Parts: sequence; C-alpha cells; structure tokens
Amino acid sequence: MTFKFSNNAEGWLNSAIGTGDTSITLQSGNGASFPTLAASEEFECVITEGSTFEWVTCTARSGDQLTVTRDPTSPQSFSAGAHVMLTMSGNMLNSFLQKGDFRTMTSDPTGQAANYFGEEIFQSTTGRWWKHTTGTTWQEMNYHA
Amino acid sequence: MSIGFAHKAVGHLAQAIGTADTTIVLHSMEYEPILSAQGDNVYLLLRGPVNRELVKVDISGSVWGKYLTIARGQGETSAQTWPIGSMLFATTHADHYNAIIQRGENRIIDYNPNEILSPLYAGEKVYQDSPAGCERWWKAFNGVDSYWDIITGAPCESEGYFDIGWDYPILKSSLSEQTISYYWDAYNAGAGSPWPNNPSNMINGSMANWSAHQGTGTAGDQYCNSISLESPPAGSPTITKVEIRAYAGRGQLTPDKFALQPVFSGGNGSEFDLMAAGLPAYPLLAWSNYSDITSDTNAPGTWSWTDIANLIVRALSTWSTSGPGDANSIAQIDLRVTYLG
Repeated sequence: MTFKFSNNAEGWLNSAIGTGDTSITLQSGNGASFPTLAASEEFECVITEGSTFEWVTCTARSGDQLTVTRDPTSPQSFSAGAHVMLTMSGNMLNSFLQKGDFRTMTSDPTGQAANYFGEEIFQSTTGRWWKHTTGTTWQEMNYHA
Repeated sequence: MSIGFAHKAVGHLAQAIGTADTTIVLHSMEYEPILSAQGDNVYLLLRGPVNRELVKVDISGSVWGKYLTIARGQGETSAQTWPIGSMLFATTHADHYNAIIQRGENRIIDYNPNEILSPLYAGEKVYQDSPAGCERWWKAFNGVDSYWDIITGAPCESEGYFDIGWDYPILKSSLSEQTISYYWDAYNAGAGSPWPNNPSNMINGSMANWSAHQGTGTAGDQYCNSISLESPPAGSPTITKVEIRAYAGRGQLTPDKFALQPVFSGGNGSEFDLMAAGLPAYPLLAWSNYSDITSDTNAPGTWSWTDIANLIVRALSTWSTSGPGDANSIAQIDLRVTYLG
C-alpha cells in the first residue's frame, strides 16, 4: 500500500452521504485535483461540514467518484456541498522511512514478524543486516558472492 | 535535482509584484533560512485573505540579501498580483511526498531483473518472490540501466555472472525476452461509431484492404474488442511490455484526429497519435511505429494474459475539413507482447 499526493486537492460533495456510504461523488470536475490511483495506492482526506468532520481513506478514484473506507468508529452523515480535501495525516507521515530508522536486535530475526514488507534489521551481536522477505522469513543482506 | 526544505522560513515582500515578475525582494533578514536550505529548490506559499500562490525558489539563481528568483504559479495555483508586505511561508509540494520512499513500498517480481527491468529510481530495491529457491532482494545500481545487484540470497540454477565493464560482474538472468504479436480480429458494432467505409477491413487480418473514415460527418470511433489470441504461451509467462501499432495511411489533408486509444478494464488509456507515427498519405499504407502502453494511464499494474485477451482499442478519426484527400485508413491493428521465456 502506497500513499499518493497531489496539490490543492479539494472538492465538494455532489450529493448527501450517510454513515454507511463507501462511494462518494464530487461536483463535476472536482475529482481531477485528486491523485490518480493504481492498485494498492490510496490517499486520506477529511470531509467537513460546519463543525462535523470525518477522516476517510480513498482507495480508488474514477473521475469525480471516490471509493472510500469510512472512519470505523465515528462515521458521519454529510449534506451535498460538504467540503472534501486531501490532507496530510499521521498515517501518511508515519509511512515515510527516516534516515537511521531501523530496529536493532541481538539475535537472528528469523521467526519474528516484520513491521512492514522489506524491513531491514541490524543484528548488533554479529554485525549482520537482515531484510524481510515474506511472513516471518528474513534473508541476510550479503555482499558480492 | 533535489528538493530542499527551509526550516521556519517566513518572509514579507519588500516590493509589490505583478503576475509576470520572476524575482521577489524580501526584508534583509529573511533570506537566510530560505537560501541555506538543502537542495536546489524551495517552495514558498504566498497567502492572502482570499488568494494563494505557490512559488518555487531557484536557490542557485537567487542572490543573498537582494532577490530570490522564483517560478510562479506552482502546484495547481496561478500567478497573482501581490502587494508589498504580503507574507510567504515555506511549505511542501506533492512532489516532495511522492518522491519519498514509504515503508513496504517495493515492487515484487518473479524473475531475475538483470537486462529486463528498468529501475524507477537509483538504488531501488525489488523483491523476487519466485521461482522457488530464488526468493531474494535486488538493488538497482542507478536509475537508468537495467542492471541490478543481488543483495540477499544466492544465484539460482543456470545463472552465471557476466562482465559489463563495471567493477562488479552481473548475475545474468536465465530467461530472455520473447515477443509474440496478435491483431484485433473483431469490433463491437454497437459501441462508439464504427468507421463508415468497410469497418470489417481493419479486423479481417488482411493488409490488402482497409477501413476508411473521411469527411466532416460523425467522428469515427470504432471499438475493436477481440484479438487473435487463442491461448497464451505455455505457462502464461511474465509480461514485460505491451505495444500497439497500425498498418494505416493518413489523409492528404490534415484531420483533427487520427489515433488509437487502448481501453483497459480500469478506463481509457492515452491516445496514440497516428499523425505523428510516420505514416504515408493515403492511398499509401505502412506500419506506424509502436506505442508502448505497458504503463499507460489506467493500464494494469501487472499485466496478465487475461488483460491481453480483454484489451480493447478504439480507432479514432475526426475531420473538420472535407474534400479530396480527406480519408484516414486502417488495414490492421497489431498488439505486440514481450514476455520472459
């Protein structure tokens, strides 16, 4: 899963939505400012109307129509004309890998769950680097054969 | 080119600017946090009570304490007129975020990528998940060459190293790229607007006759919806490239449009302009160059042979002039698939 970004992405609901709706339609032409999504890509946006707001995750966009995952704990109803804006979220920022941002272990990580696909771990007792492959499997990062 | 971030940079215009100005002057103490930023460019947001404008500062083209050289109207904003005293804030651009590697964001492939897979950026890491025993990670040497260094795991059976003149030998793939070509062999008479003159001739497998569209009437928009694919190559091998071309002739007059457009399950792809494809003028016909649609808009992220079988192509022709020479013609539309075999 990869987050996608675009500048000044905003629009307004073309019709009202209830708490269970997972497809929202923006006013004509509004969708173009949002990212084009391929499989396994998404972006997060916030819908606001007065003091009511809800974060939703958009997993597909076709023109002005967005397929969204609603807030699991507090979905809201919105009227036509409610504002929809792509907004930076903690999830988006936390998805970025930072310099020097890796786990250190004192043992071989084989059998350990990874925090994400392809995670790299330093084994301090042996000076080895390990890279996650699938499940709880890891491979040692080697130099040339 | 790298993008820089200016920390806590805020400025005020010391002179008003119009929409065409490409330099701005700030108060003297406000240059330091902007021009000391790492990278080649910094983005600043001009923000007024109503309007906003994103500008890009060219650090190398700016003069400390005198002016900043800027590109106007960035990030889907447009150049505005700004009065003296207008505030600017350092900000970010979507390109910043789209350029950052996200956790777990790696391509997965099922073959040795050397001499096959083009990297998306220098140092990209991809994971090979098959065949069994060949699961391992690869890292691109640069952002251009399709050469990859194995960084986990070991060589697989039948693989060997070869010398490309760099410091290190390259682990050669045991597969090579093969191609197979098909042509569209049916069209949907109920979709779009089939070409008025012999619409079946562009899908009958013969290059000796052709379909034609001419004149200022209804635009030609023929949906070719079946290809001559009986079954995929044995084992449904990995597809690495998909291309289309036409055996066609353009009008002697210049049409408004003469193009092919793939239609994927996710929507339309880009139009392939046949006027720019090196075709002769009607009544001569020839093969156009190939258009690579592998990563086209709405194309599958990973191509399957079902995607190939279901691929539709639209033959588009539009005229706003008429007279002798107002005919576009297509005799055949080809689909070339490159795969690993």
